[in-house]
Amino acid sequence: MILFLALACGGPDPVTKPPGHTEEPTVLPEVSVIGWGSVEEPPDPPTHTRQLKRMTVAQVRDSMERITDGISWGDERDSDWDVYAETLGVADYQLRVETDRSPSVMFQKFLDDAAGATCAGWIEMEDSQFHSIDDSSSLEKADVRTNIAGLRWKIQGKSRDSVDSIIDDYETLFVKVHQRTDSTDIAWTTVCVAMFTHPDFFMY
Amino acid sequence: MRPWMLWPMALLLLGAGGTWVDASSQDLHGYVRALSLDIRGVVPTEAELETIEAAGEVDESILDAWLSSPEFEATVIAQHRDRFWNELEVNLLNKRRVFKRDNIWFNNNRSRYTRLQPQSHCGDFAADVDELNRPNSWITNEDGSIAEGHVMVAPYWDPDTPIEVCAFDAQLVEVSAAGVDCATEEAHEEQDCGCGPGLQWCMANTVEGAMEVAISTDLNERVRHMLATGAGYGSLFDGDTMFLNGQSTHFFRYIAPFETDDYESPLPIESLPDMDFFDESWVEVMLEEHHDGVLTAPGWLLRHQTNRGRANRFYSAFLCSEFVPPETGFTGLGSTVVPSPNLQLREGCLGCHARLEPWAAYWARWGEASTTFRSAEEFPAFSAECETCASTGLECSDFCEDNYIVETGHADELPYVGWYGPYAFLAEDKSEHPDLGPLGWVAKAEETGLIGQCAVQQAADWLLNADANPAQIDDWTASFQVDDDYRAMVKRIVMSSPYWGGAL
Repeated sequence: MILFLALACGGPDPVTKPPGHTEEPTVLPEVSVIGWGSVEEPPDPPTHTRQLKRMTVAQVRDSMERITDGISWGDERDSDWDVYAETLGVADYQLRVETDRSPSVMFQKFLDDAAGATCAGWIEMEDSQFHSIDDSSSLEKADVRTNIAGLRWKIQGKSRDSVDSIIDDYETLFVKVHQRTDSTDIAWTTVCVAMFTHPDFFMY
Repeated sequence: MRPWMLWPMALLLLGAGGTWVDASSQDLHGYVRALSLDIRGVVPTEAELETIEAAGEVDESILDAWLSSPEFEATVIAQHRDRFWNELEVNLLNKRRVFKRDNIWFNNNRSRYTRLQPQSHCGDFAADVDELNRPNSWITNEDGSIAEGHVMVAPYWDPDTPIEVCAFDAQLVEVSAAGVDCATEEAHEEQDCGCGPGLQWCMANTVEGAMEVAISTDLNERVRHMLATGAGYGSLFDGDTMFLNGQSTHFFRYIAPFETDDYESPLPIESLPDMDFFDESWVEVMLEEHHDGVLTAPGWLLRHQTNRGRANRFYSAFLCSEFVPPETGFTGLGSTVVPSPNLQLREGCLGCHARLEPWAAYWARWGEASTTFRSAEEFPAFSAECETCASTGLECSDFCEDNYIVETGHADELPYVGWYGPYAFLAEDKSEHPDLGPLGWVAKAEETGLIGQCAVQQAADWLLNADANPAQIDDWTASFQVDDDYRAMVKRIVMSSPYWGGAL
């Protein structure tokens, strides 16, 4: 500690520098245009054809409830989607006349909240149709992938036969969360949240 | 937050950089989902998905069923709310509002007439009243106000929960001692007129909000009616009916008569449907000849309160055009000459107002911040009486002062002395606009196909979320001009190649 204090207090006093002293500026290396490297420009989107768009708040609300057999986010009377509609940029035709359809951070925060509550409610509900396999506690790779395909079909409307690398990602997610929690329910809930918060769900 | 909870977000970020743009090349499942969300606002059911998977295509009958569903009506209504902006927060009639002080309801706006002092209250004690709730006795306060006490009333907005109401405001008298009908605006200052049976001539804040919603929702119901009956899109503008529920009926029957300058029932009061206040059903009623569909609906007139505002909104929402300042900017604003009140001539204004003023005149026979129609019989274009008083210096009547050009501050106004205000500065070839009404503008726009083209453009924007090929818009517009069928127009777009590669 004494050594630190000595170092902290023992430095050169700036006022003792000779008048007119200036330090040499650090010379930065030259950077050529070639040195910048290159990035692959994304292709221009096709013109005049349908472009993906974000679901409206009402579409997310109604779709999540339909997919989960009626699990609503919020209390029984008011969906939290409606409670937070103003914050989410839904037009009220007084102060705001255009609805914000951007996949903003605010939207994704609330979507994450809604997905967490909805997925937990869905997996716990009586006679839940969450699982597409008979043994919901199975850790067999085939069962896990079948269940992932079933959830993608229900939540994101993807064909159950589709081949996509993201299925591997969902499987990895399931395995990693299960390793940490030793709970298939938590692992499946996490996969469910991942699917609801992925653009495959809210962009169409 | 537990670490594993972050995984979904990480996955989202990993997956968000892919081909997230063009939707028209995706598979059947993507097409079904987009169709269902665009048309019905919700993803397809599992049963629907299985049916379509088994068929390997979206059968046209499924699309037709979805386009005939109530959900499609709700979707189109939502699209048109973006046009109408029909949401009211206007303080319908402050002077007939009752609210609570010390948990006792009273009409503060009438206190000066009932209790002889502004802001005065009846006091927290049971009133001594006769069978019509007229106070038999009261306390006289030091400030000269009187306090009569309260009575219990079952209000029409919650008849199962009686409330304490100041006796003067709870009076049931139909005709005052002075002979004034207590259901009319003249009764407002009558001490012995109250809110009537069940407080029917007054309203609480929540009740006022429900009435505003009902008046706004009439516009939605006109869109629903257009789709449900298969009526042409043009019926939105030339339709001769509107929709009332219990709340709007109550407003027009019992509240609107207290401010006849601003409100009138859209049909004679005796013809209003007999509906309970809580009745949420919508009853279609016939309107009088001078109504022009949604453009003179109470919900439109109160949302867009000035004639310029009404014209501007129609221009944007239904003709897809905007008033844009000149690229050269505004000029002539530094002039020292007294500017003309005629905005069609004034430097800096004429770029927009040369067109806006004559268009605003289409609403000239509708009061501003009002739902009242001002007929040519009641408000002639020119009044000799008003012209005479203005030019001779005689005192003009309130009628002339309020509605006619009787004072001039600029030479440009001189030719219009004695003219009904909205006629001022109208060029001769535009002078028929007030009497044509908004439908006159609609008719001209329909001649050039602008309304249909705008409706198609907006539907394409909604469904494609992209700029459609102009030639494609022209094709869709041509078909829409022929059938005037909004549902068919939407069907054409979602079955087209730009929507999904012509998947059907």
